[in-house]
Amino acid sequence: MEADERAWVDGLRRGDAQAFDAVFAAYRRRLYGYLVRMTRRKDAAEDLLQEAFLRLAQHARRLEADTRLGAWLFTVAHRMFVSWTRAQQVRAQLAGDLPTSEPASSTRSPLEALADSQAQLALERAFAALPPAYREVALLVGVEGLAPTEVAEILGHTPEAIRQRLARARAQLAEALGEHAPASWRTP
Amino acid sequence: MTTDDDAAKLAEISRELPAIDLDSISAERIAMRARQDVGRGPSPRRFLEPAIATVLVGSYLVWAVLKIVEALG
Repeated sequence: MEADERAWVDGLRRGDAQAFDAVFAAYRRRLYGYLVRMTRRKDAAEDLLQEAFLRLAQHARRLEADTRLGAWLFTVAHRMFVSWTRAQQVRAQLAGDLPTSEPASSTRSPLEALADSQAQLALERAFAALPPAYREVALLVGVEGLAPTEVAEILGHTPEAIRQRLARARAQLAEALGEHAPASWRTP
Repeated sequence: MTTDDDAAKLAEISRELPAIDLDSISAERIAMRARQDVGRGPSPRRFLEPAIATVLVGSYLVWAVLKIVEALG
């Protein structure tokens, strides 16, 4: 655990708002990026982000001294995403509409609008096209740089399940990217 | 291909993803809202709904038992 993080956890355990601000500054982009790419909706991601940091604030005094904040926050965010997905499915069923797993991809989503180039657009679409279970592992390992064993703890799966999802995610991304895949991906 | 290879290749390509961030107004609003709760613990409101449900169900059960006793007596 890094010294900064240890100090932040100590501060949170004392109810120090400045420690909270430091954690918010360090993790807000990472959590928001993860939530936007999982929900594919900025409004939903913003709501879930707020809820995650509210949980941290309310749980601050009960944190263990050796809490790894990144893992803690991503665990909360993952659980919120799961609840949000279930709520969306129930809402769709109540509306008499079969739940669709993803929005239609014929038009640019707000997320895709951030892409500066065709390669970035292709990459964003390739990630979006992954099944959520694979996308989540790909984001946590690839974007967030978390170890597969840590991701297994966050998602509550076995390390072997995470390894399989990681391999399938990479294979599906390579297939979806086609010519946009990096050269090292195309060599056997 | 090993897990480390998969992770390294995903990390390589993920660097190309566009950066995403909240607008500063929303970020400040969220931070301010959450900051108020630092160290306070969960809101007592979360217990209100189960408490009301418990009182209502308990009252109904007492009423039902009294009615049964009345009918038997």
